[in-house]
Amino acid sequence: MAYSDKVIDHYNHPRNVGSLDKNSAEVGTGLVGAPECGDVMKLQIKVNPQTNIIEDAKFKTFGCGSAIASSSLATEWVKGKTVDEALAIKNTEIVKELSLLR
Amino acid sequence: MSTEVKTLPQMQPVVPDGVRLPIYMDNHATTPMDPRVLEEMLPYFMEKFGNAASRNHSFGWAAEEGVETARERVAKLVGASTKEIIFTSGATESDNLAIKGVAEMYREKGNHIITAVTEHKAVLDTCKRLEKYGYRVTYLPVQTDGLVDLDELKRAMDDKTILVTLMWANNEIGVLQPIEEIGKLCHERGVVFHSDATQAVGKIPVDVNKANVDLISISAHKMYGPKGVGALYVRRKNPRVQLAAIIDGGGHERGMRSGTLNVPSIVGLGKACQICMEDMPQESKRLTALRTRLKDGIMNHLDEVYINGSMEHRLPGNLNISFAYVEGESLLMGINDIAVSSGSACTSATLEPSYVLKALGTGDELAHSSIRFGLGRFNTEAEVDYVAARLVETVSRLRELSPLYEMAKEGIDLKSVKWAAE
Repeated sequence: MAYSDKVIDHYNHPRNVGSLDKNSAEVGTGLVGAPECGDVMKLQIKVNPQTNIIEDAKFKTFGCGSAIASSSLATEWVKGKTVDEALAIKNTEIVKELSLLR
Repeated sequence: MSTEVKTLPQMQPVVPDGVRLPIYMDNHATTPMDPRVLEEMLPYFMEKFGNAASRNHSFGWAAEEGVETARERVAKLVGASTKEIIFTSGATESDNLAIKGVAEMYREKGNHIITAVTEHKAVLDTCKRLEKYGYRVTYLPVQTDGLVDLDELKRAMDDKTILVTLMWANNEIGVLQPIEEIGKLCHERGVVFHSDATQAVGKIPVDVNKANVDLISISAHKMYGPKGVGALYVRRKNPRVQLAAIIDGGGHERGMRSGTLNVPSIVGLGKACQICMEDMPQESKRLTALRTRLKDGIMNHLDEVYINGSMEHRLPGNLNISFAYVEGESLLMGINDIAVSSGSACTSATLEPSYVLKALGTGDELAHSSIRFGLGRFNTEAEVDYVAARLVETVSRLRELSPLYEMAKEGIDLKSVKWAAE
């Protein structure tokens, strides 16, 4: 199976890789997956308490190329959105954007 | 406070002179044909196209001569006599013929078969099918180095055991089983011993008499011959082993494998065996040196890198390494100018990582992080150096991306984490 150009681009040039201060009150950290399943994703967002806007997002992912690309894209999409807007993003939209099901 | 990780720009090692990309280092999957093999085969497509079974004209005789020369070369490589070599379509067919052939022929004597969990699917799935027909199969575990425990084998044998089938060299980790000892055990108890020697023949010395083995499966395309052809060695004395055929027809190959012989490919198999026999001493030394160079080139520059399987009992060209905290498929994606294999589930049709590595007790997370290198006749030192450099660079980059690596560096015991699967 060959990956789409978008997946390859995110894999080669991942956006927003890194970590935010997990002890900060403005930072939320999510960790999903399990090493034995071959996928672990850590996604962090920094939310402005006044505006509820996600001002920064960072990720680190252990997983295959599509897992890395999906998390990279997700950080791009949630940045600048309010938390409610970010919650409205569907996994199928990410699948579509990256042409993961072909 | 945010810590930005600099993953860019990618540092691509310079491609040295004499290295052509992509590099093929997956010689356990298949090998390129040796040009000498192709040259030997060519006349048998058009000039000597005869049916080797045509006994009454020169076209048949020419084909038969080619086949019989090949049979001598195959026999010589494994220390057998020519009458003990049966040509097949490859090692999968040879495994099927050996296991099903013995199961049917020795049914009155017993119904118990012993194999191991790290065998190739051609053996495991054949055994599984026989279970449906009333055979009992013991799947021996292996030790952490990949070797079968001889005491376990002894304990598994009973008065209904008719066949032991254990591979000579493993296709993923290159680990060599103690074939001579297993053969001795089998012969003491009058049990037929089959070994899938696909990865071993042509790479390391294989002597069927020294090893007390009764049946071995051989493939041409793992030793620089053509695909779609192989052989089965069938012992004719001490003891004489009999097989029920699985392909019936014109009674070719002593009735054990009917079907017009694939003459050009058989000629190729023979030539491949002859070359392997001549080159083996220097070839195995050269590959061992290349393997050491690759191992050092990787392990001297990366921490938390683990070798899977015994280094002592191993094929010269095999290296199987797990790179902790990096998923195998993403690693392959990062080294896409190098052809190797991974034990990661993402690279296979199943969702489970390599069952061979799991059987060693490697743990799923390290099995997902494994890469198999298969060095072969046409790999060079320059290629090995390039591959090692590319791997070190890519693993380092992916570890910067890995939450597991970060957690481990923070001193978190990953085993203590309660993982939330989706």
